[in-house]
This record gives sequence, structure tokens and C-alpha cells, in this order.
Amino acid sequence: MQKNIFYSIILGLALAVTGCEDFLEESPSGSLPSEEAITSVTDLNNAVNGIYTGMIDFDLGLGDFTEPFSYYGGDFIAYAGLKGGDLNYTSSNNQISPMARFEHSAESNFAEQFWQMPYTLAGRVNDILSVIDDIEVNSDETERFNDLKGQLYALRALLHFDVARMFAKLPSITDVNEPNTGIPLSKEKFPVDYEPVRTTLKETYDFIKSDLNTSLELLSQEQNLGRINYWAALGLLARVHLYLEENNEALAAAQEIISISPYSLYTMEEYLTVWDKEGTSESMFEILTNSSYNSQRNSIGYYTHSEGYGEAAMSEQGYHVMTENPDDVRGQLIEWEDAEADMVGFYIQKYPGRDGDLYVNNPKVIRLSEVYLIAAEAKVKGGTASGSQSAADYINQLRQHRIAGYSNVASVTLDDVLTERRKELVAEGHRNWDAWRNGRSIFSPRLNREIDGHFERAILPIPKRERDISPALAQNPGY
Amino acid sequence: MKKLLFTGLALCMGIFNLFAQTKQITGNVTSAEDKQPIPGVSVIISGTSNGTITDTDGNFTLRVSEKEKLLFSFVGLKTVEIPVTSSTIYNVVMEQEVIGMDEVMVVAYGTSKRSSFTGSAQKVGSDELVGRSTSESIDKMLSGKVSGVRVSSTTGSPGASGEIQIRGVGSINASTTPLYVIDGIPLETGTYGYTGFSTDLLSTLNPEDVESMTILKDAAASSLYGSRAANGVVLITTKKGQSGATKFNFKATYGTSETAMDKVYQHMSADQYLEYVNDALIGTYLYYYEPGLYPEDPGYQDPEVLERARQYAQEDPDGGKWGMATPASDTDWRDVVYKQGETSDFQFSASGGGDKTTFYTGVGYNKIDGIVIGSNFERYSGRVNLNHKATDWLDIAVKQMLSHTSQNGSSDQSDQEQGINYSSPLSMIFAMNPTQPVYNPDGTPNQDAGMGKVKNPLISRIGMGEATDETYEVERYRSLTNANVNMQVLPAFTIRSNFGLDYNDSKTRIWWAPESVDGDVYNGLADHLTYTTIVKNASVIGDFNKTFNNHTLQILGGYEVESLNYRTLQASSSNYSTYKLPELSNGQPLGTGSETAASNLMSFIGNMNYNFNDKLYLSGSIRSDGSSRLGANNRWGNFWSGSAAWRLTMDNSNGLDDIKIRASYGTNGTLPIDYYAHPGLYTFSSGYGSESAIYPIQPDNPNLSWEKSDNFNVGIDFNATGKLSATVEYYHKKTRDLLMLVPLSYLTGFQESWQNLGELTNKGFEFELHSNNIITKNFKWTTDFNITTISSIIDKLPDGKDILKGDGGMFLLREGESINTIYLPTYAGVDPDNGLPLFYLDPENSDELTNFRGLAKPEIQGKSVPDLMGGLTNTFRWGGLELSVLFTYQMGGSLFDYPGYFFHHDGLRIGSFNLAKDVENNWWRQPGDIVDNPRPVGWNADRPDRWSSRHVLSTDHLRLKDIYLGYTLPKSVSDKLHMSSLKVFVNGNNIWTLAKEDTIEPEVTLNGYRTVDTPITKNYLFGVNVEF
Repeated sequence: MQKNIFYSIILGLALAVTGCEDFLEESPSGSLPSEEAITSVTDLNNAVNGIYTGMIDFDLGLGDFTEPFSYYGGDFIAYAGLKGGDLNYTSSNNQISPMARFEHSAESNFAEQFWQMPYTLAGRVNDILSVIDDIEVNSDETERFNDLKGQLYALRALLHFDVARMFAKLPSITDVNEPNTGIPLSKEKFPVDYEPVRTTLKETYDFIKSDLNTSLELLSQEQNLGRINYWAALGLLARVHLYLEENNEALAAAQEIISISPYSLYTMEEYLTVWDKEGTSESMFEILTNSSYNSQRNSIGYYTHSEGYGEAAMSEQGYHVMTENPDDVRGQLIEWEDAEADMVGFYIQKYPGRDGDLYVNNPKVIRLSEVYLIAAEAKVKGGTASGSQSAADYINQLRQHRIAGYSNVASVTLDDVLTERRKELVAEGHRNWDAWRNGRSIFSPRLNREIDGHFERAILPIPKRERDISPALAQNPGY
Repeated sequence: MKKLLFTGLALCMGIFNLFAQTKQITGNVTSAEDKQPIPGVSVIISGTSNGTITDTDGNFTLRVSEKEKLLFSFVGLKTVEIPVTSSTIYNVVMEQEVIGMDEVMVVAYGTSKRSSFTGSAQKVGSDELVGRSTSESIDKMLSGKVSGVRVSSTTGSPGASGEIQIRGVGSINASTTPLYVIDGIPLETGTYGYTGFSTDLLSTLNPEDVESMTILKDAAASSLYGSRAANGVVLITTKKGQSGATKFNFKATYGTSETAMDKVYQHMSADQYLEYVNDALIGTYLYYYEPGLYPEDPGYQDPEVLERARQYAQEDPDGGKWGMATPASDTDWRDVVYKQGETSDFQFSASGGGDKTTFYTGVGYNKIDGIVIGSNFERYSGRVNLNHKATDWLDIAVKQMLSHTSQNGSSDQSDQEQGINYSSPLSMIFAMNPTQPVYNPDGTPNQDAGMGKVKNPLISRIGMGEATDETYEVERYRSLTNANVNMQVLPAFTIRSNFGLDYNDSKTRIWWAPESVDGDVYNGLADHLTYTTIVKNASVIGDFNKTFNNHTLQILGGYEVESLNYRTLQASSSNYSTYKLPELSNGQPLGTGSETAASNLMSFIGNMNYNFNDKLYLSGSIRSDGSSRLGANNRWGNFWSGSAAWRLTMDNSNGLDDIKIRASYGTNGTLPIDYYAHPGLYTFSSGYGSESAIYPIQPDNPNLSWEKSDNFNVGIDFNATGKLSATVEYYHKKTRDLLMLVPLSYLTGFQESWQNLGELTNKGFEFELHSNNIITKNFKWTTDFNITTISSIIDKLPDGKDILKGDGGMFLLREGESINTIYLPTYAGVDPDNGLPLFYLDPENSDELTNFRGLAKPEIQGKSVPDLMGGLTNTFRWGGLELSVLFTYQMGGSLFDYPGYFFHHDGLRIGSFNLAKDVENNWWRQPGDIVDNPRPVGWNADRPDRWSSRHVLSTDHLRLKDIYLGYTLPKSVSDKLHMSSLKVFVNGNNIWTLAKEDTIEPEVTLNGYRTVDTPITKNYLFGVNVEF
């Protein structure tokens, strides 16, 4: 009898460990299956946030980058300034500074991560768009739903525009109908074995414009900090038209913003104080950062200071352009820094760090000054649109807000506009493309010579990794 | 101590006083070998603690009663059991217990005699482990002792994880480590903390508690472990008490350590570095200012341009920041960062018991100071093993281990994708300016000694309580409980039930002080992570065992469940107002996090063994596993094996007593490493501004399944009792449905996904020999030799396409090639005319050369998997003296020298890094120089230093892995000291190495990637072992 009791206890104990019948069903504590993740408009909002945050995270939030790298948080913005020659490095930290030497190969992290970041985020856009029609939308949520959907299309356009600028030649200096001049288009949710191929540059830019136009039909015109609204999308569309030399369209879009949007130019008085603030009067679209979500050492604030990496100081020529007119308030943004003995130099103060944290600076993707400059450039190039002003008018209005005791000029040349652009948008990720798309060259202080948009290393190679996966993906010449 | 000795002695005396038996018997014990009497044989009445030992002539006297049994035992001899009859004289001949076929081994879910075992398994006893080697972790003691087993580690830091592979590399992306089972319970191993600091749960086990390890290699041996057995199984059995007098054992060991390879990581002298920097600046001028490096440059070999370049270098545009002036010193920073390490180890154990209950209990303390300042490992452990015979049908056993370990150090690079971290000790050696002195004239550490941001290791070094500290600390508490019940239900049928609880609490604490390299931007950062794992395991096994005439049949069936849960809790603070108080509450809160995860396994097992007259053996096994880690469509899988052995017992005329032929075939598997690899997942842990942010992190795969391997094994065992035994085996393991982390186009939104694709074959021969070369009464010489050949070839990849893996795609996965094949451009040396590097443009197709590494196509440069490896142990015993010498060797493998890449930078990193010593007087300076390193060019954008065949080095080596010399004091001496045995010993690990490449540590993990880490050490140890 004692035996039987004993056996029963032992067997019972062994079985008790098994517990319930879903013993083999386990799910993680930090994530949900896709089908449960986006079911409401609030979920949709958070999923759109997942794209914005990927634009400033130092590893897309994936935690598996070989070397940390940030898109709008730092590296992408520094890229244009370093390749444009107005920024230069003072240190040997070799994070993004090799861009100043145009040093990148198909195997390099630079090529791979500048490709990975926008395309991964475009993949996230498509993942959301693939389930967006299954979301339950209450009648009072329709507007918000449409706005979020519009943001997705506008973001997808911006992501492709950035890839096109980095990996393809600029459309104004290229035969846009040549095969493989464009980039692969991330149009939809792809299966895991997808092998991308390139399009023509025309197809690429048509796709970008089409997405922006779709977004304009959906987006709200309300100001919305940290998100793309109607005006930001329209401003980006104006920029795209300008790149395509579609001057009438560029001008019309820019003029609509100038005359109707709620944004206003920074005043002389406030110009030096706006850079550590969020949601300032010109800011049409900026990406949010804070002490928890930022690009850490790959942030633009860390690059543009001697106490950080010292990788994006002002070059000699950049310093001279910015400070040639002592009455220009923009020159006062340049300061001498010597926090680290081997990284001394003149540094731009556009990213001073909110609350003293160099990592926390909201990168501005588009702001009103640029829209004035787009309008002026389109006008100089012969663009027409109803209600538009003269190119000099646009420039005069901007300069009145920047130069003490400024007197208006009667006319401006294309070079005047481009120089104004160079000063206004310095260290905001424009310089190289602005010069090259207009057939101008930049002077590279590191290569010690002029570089134009036809230089092979002006654009990045298609990453080797991607071409290993898709052999039909054509490489850029020279790589 | 004295008291313990006294107590021990008192207990021994007690034995004689307890006598109140019926008759006195006498006898003599002799050796079967040489017919000589054996002194010191323990003669015990079975089941009691009563007994005696034989005198110098082998004689004994004892009082016994009839029906009792006498047990004769002596180390190295087979134990003899004799029933007491009416006779009063008992003369016993004892045989050598060598490597015998009748050795009992612990095998999957039971035990087996070696003679009747049909699979491939090998037992390693504690004599061979802790008796001859010294290490904090048991896995590291296996090196060279078992055929087919390869042991390596990424870093020589104390407490760092080792890596064991059994019979090659079982997988490309899933686990390649074996399953560890301790006293029947699967054991968690692995890091369980932050990566970037190599640790392993195995180091929580005290090697002294281990009685034996059995390595299960083929399917017949391991298929009962099913979905976790594809990489082999390591069974660990802890010590058990013997009934009889209580034995006490005390062991103390002390030793010192230094790098195993003397020449590893030596840097350039100050004078040479200055000359090198000067040449690099000349190169910079010719590269950037007035192009004149390449034949097509306008200033090529133009003396005037060269003069201006020299001028430029002299003027030193960067203001002398690399000490371009006369060197202030010639400092060897390696001597500053690496010092002599120290090991101390104290072990105390007691074991014994009576009729019904036996016990073993041991406590241990181990402390190692690594060769890097501030790196150390410390372990306290205790174990109690109790066995109790409750009734004639019920045995119970409870085993309990508790341990506490702490491990301190600096960040390491054991994760190969980390690159080089300026705060890691090795990079510190090279990031220091050799022209700068360690100290200022006033005796304080020189603040300007580092290049770039790196501080003088004397002030940035770890654990010194300075404002520049960067410390990593792992503290672990582990409790391992094992309860075992054995019920004899019927004479031929038993039920065994096992319950296991493995609780492990790992606390990782990172502290970057406010002025440290990494802590600067945070103004101090502390990050604490607690990682708690609980593994529960229960099994019930029914075992039927019956002999009918010549037929013996054993049938075993059972059920097992296991659930693994972990929970993490993480918190961090930054912005510290003082570096003196690193606790979280003294900074500003930065972030928190927690996570739980679970992985469950449910299994049914069955096994049958048949033995005909100890001639023919047949065995079959099956296991069905269901795992929560797999997709719903493929959750359950079956694993089986079949094996047979035929024993030809021969007469003694040709010297062979026994030959056994055996063969096995069967399947087993490997589960995904990730607990949740199969569902498509969105993460919810992120945020944007003040809102939440969610995004997809994994595409779904409902068909995800395990890797399946088909194993074939055939072997012959020879045995000439007392003389030698040998085993030859051939293994062939084909692994299908490899879990591959397949890279995806970024346009999918994902980087990679787990898929079951690909096939891999591991095959080779194993040969083991154990020989008693000379056995006399006073002198004994034995040799153990093993050799293993390995071939790990990829058979099939997705779409047959090559896959490039690892950092920069340096590893090639190609059908027909070895796993971990290194695939890089081929460096052809330096052009003596102009000092430019030469690479083969398209090495597979032409001899054409180029100066540009970027244009050079890669080719296969070697593979990390060696062709053969093994070990040779010679043991000599002469009186009380014992000398054991173990050599290990390996041939045919290569490694990728990642540190060497940084330290042969061809000028790229001047101002950041010094160069390796072998570059001294070995770089191009003028036409005609025949050298290995090209002319340096500061910040060279063409990057000749990038990875090429220059960084692929052979791992061929022969190493004196262990040398052990022990002396047991004569009995007369130990008796006077009231001890039953007193032994003193010296032990050396890794003290001599003959390697093809002497500037790199050749024992690298199987992926062949030498990380930027502290090399392994050679150790000199001294110890004393007392039994009483």
C-alpha cells in the first residue's frame, strides 16, 4: 500500500510540472505578432511614430548595427555638409568624416547603412499600408486616420528622395530615361525573397511626386510638431520640383506656402535663440529627439562640437562665407571651440543641445526659409506661377530677417540665390546637392580640388551586400 | 585544521574499537601484473564502515561474521568483492583497472558498461580533470583529453566563456555548443548578461565537485536527448560518498600567470614609431597635396615633390600631437597594461556514510587575478550530495549546489561585430603614445600619454576608484537542486524519477565614471542588469531489465518536461556629481526595462537494449520532442537511433583479449537559439517624443523547424587487458534544414530572417590509444594519445548561391567548401620600386597585380576548421612521484587576425594607434627595400590595410597544455602527521608553444575570428593535497 501511495505522488508531481495544455505556446513580453499590433487608429499613430523614431535612432531601433549610424539624427545631415565642403573634420574619429574625403566603397558601412536606413523605414511604411484598410476607424477618427495615412505616403516619398540623392545622379545633370539611372522603388510589402532592381531616374522621381501628391490629399493643414503636415509635404514637393527644374510647379507650391501657411520667418532678434527650441515659427517639419530617444554619439550635435566627435566643424571656406558680412546674424552662429585639444576649430551652433544635452537637437527637415529660397531659385530660372513675386522680393524678405541695416536689392542672379541658400541652410544637409544640381562644383578641402556632380564618388556605390542578394541590381559607374 | 585532523583521526580509531564480531580472518593481496604484494589496499565489510588496510607485505587481519562480504579496493585496481565463507584465509589477486571495457559509464538516462555500449562515448574521470589541470571552469580542462572534442576561448580573462565543439561545427547560424547535463538534469550555459563582457554560467560550477564527465558523440549515445543533441552531449556526474570511514580532503593551490605567447601584441618602439609617422606624413602629402604616390601621378618619383613632402612632414602640420619632437621616453605600454596574474584555490571536502546513507560535501574558493589590471574572478561554492536507501525498494538522492561568483574586468570584444573599443585593454596598449613616459617627473601618471581620447591606463584602468574608471562586473548566484527517486517496483522493473531546479541570478553592473572615455558624454553612466533564469525539469522513466539464459533485455520508456523562464530587470543612471559613488541613486535616472521569456519542451522517450551472451548487442532509441520555440506547423519532431555491436573475444595468444565492432545510425536536432523566431513581430519598446512607437522587427515563418542531423558512426574497440586499449572510429554527420539567418534585401524592411535552408556534413576519423608502456611495482609509464580529423563541408545553400557572412562579408559560405572559409583579396607584398602595396586583381583567373585593395577580388584564403587535432598525455609514476605531460596540437586551420589589422594600419591610424613590433624596420622607405609593409600614408583613402590575406594566419601549433608533477609523501611520513595521504604538486598550463605564427594566440574559437581581446595565459601553479 505504501508503495502505491508513493508511486502516485511521484507520478503526480511529474505531471504537475507540465501545467496546462498550452504548455508549448509562448509569446514574447516585448512584442506582439503583426496581426495584433495595428488594429486601431491609436496603433496606427504609434506605428507611424515607429518610422519617425527610426529616422533619429542610431541603429533604427534594431540594435544590430555593426557600427551605429543615424539617418536624420546626424549622419545624413553631416554627409551633405562634408561632401559639400563647407564642413570639415578636426578629429581622427573616422565616424562620418571619411565623407569629406569621398571615401566609401561598396563594402563600406557608409554605403550599406545609408541604403539600409531609408529602405528599412520604407519597408515599415509598406508593412503598415498592407494592413491599414483592416483598421477599425470610428466616424470621429476619419480625419486623423487620413492624416496618418497621408504622413505615410509623404514619408515614403522623402525616403526615396534621399536614397535617390545619395545613390543616383541628380536628375538635372543626367539623362533621366537611361535604364538603371534611378533607384529601386519600395512600392509595396515585399516577400522575404524579394530581389530589387533599379528603375530609371524618371520613374524614381515620378514615384516620389506621386506619393507626395497622394499625401497632399490626405494630410491635415494643422501644425503638428514632429510630424509631416500638408505644408511640409508641399514644401518637400516644391524641393523635388526644383531638383527636376520643374520651376513653375516648384514656384507655385512655394508661393502657396508663403501666402497661406501659418509659418513665419525667424526675426533678427530671435535668430540666434531658436536653435535649442522645439516647434519654432519657421519649422515645418522637424524630427523629435529627447534624452531617451536620440542618436547618441551619431547625433548631429555630437558631430558639430569639439566636445563631441568634432567631425563637422566649419571648413575654412565655410567659415569665410558665413562670416564675410559682419552684419549678417548667421555669421554669429559660428563659434571657436577648444574643449578637446585635438579638435579645436570653428563650429556652427545650430545644434547646441537642448537642456545642455548634445544628443538632443530636433533636426529640421524643412523650414520656411528654404521655401523662400526655392521660390527665388525657381523664379530666377524662369518659373511662373500666379501670385508669385520677383526673385529679388523673396531674397529681400529673407535678408531683412538676417542682415542688420539691410537695403533691398532690385535683382538677384542664380549665384546670389545659391549663396544665400548656402548661408541659410548651412549644416542642414543641402550644400553638395544644391551646387551639383545647378552644374556648379564645390571645393573639397580634403581632396584639395573642385568636385562636381559628375565625379564618380559624388554618389555612393550600391552596397555589395544588396547586390549579392540581387545580382541584377546595377552598380554605379566607377565602383 | 588541527582540530579537524584530530577529529578525522579519532574517527579512524573508532573503526577498530567498534569490533565485536564473530571470527578473525587473515589474508594477502597481490597484484595480477607482477605477483607482488600490494600494501595499502582498503579491505572493508560491504555496507559498513568497518575495515582495515593491508600492510607493507600485503597482509591484513579482520574480524567478520558470515554472510558478510569483503570489499577490496585500491586506486587504479579493479575492486574485488568476496563473500565471507567458513574459511579464515582470503588471498586476493587484484587486476589493473585500465581503461577497461567493464568501466561503468553514465549515459543518457542511465548507466552502461563500456563493454556493452553500442554508441560512441568517452568518460573522463576527475583524476584526468582536476587531477592534472587547473582552471576555474571544467570545460577548459577537457582540452586534448577526448578525441573529437575541441576547446577554445575568445579571451584569456578569468571567468570568460570557453567554447566546446564535438565533432566539428554542427550549424552555421544556430548553436554549435553541446548540451550539458548534470546528474541527469540539463544545465543552462551561456552568457546571460550584456555582451561585450565574456562570461559563462559554466564557471559557477566547482570542478572539484565533479566525479566524471561523459562525452556522448554519436546518435546511439545522444539521440535520447533529441532536439538538443545534434552538437553532442556532455554528461557531468558529481561526487558521491562511499560508505565507510569519513574521508576528508583539503587542497590548496597557488599560481601565477602571464600571456601564453611571449611575442603576442608587442608594439613598435618610440624611435621607430616616430620614423614611421614621419614617413606616413610624407605619404599624406604625396596622396593629398601633390599627388606623387602612384605611377600615374604627376609628381611620381619627382625629387622636388618628394623634398616638399619631407618638408611638410618636418613641419608637422598637426602641431606635434604625436610627439614628433625627440621622444621623451620609450615606453612599453604592454608591460603597463599586462601584469602577472595570480590564482589561488582552496578546496575542502568530506565524504562517507553508513549502511543506508552516504554523503559527499565540498566547499571551494577560487580566485584569479587576470593579467589585465583590475580583471578578476572569484567563486565560493558549496555542495551536498546525499544518497539514502529508504527501504529495499526505494532509493532517494538529493544533490544541492550553491555558488556565488563575481567577475570584474573591462569591456572585451567577444562579440566580433563590436569593432575595436578604445577602452578595451588591448586597444589601450596600442592607443598609448610610445614616446611618452608612464609617469610625470613628480611621480603622478602622465595625463598626456594617450593618443586621441584614450587615457593613460594607469588612470583609466579599471577598478581603481578613479574618475576615469570603466568597470564591468558580473555577480552570479546559482542554486542547482536535483532530487532523484528510484523505486524497485518488481525485481525486473524500476521507476526512476528526477526533479531538477536550476536557479541562476546574474547581475551585471557597468560603470563608466564621468571622465572615462565612454562615460564622458553621460557625465557618468551606471547600468545594472539582473538576469534571472529558472529551469524546471521533471522526468519519469520506467526501466525493465531482465536476463533469460543468454539474453538480456532492457526496455526503457519515459516522459520528460522542461520549462525555462527568464526575467530581466535593467536600470541605468547618468549625470553623476561624483565618481566616488557609482550606485544608481547617486545619478539621474536614465532608463529602465524588464523582459520575461519562456521556452518549454515536452518529450516522450523510449529505449531498448538487447545483449546476447555478451557477444551481440543491439540498441534502439526514440524521442519525440515538442518545443514552444517552433512554428505551429512544425512543433513536434521525432528522433531515433539504431545501433549494434559484435564482440569477438579472442584468446590471449596474439595479445588481444577483446575486439568489438560497432555501428550506429540515427537522427537528432538543434532548436533555434531565439525563443520566438517564428512569429512576425512588432516591438513596443520604443518611443517618439512623449508617445509610444511600434515597428516590425521580424518577418514571420510558421514553418520554422529544427535542424535535423543524420549521424552515422562505425568503430572498432581493441583491448589487451592491462596493456593497451585502442579505438578507431569514423563519423559522418549530415545536417539538414540548417537554421540560416538569411540576409534579406533591405527593401523588405528587414535585415534577415530565420529559414530552414542548407545542408552541412561533418565527418572524420577518431583514434584513441591508451597504453600501459611499463608497469612494475615501483614504476609506471602510461600513454594516452588521440587524434581527430575534421571536415565540415557545406553541401547545400539556398538557391546554391554563395553567402558572405561576418564583418564586411569576410567569411564565405559556398557549396563544397568548409564552413567558416575566409574569403579575402590576396596581398602580394610590396613593390620594391615604389613601396606600394600589391594585390592580385583577380586571383582566381589571372596573375595581374594592382595597387588598389579596393579593386582586388577576393579568393579563398583558408578555413578556420583545422584538418586534425588531438592530444598526447604521458604519465609516469615512480614511487610517490607522478609526472603527467599533456601536449595538444592542431593543424590545417587559419584565423583572421582582427587585432593585427588595427596594428598594421599602413599609416591610416597614425595619431590613433601604434603599430605591431613586426613592422619595425619592415616598412618601405626607399627604392629597393624588400619588406612586408607598404610605405605608410596617413589617412590613406585607398585603404591597403583593409582585410586581405595579410590578416589570415595559420593556427598550426603544438602546445604543452599541461604539465603536472606531484609527489605523495611516504606513508610513514603522512602517518606521523595523522594523514592518510599528503601530496604536493606543481602544475603548468600552456607553458610552451610551438606555433607557425608566434605573434598571435593560435587557440581561437571555431569561427576563426581572433577578437581584440586579452590573450590566454600560461599558468604556473603549486599546490598541496591532504587526505585524512
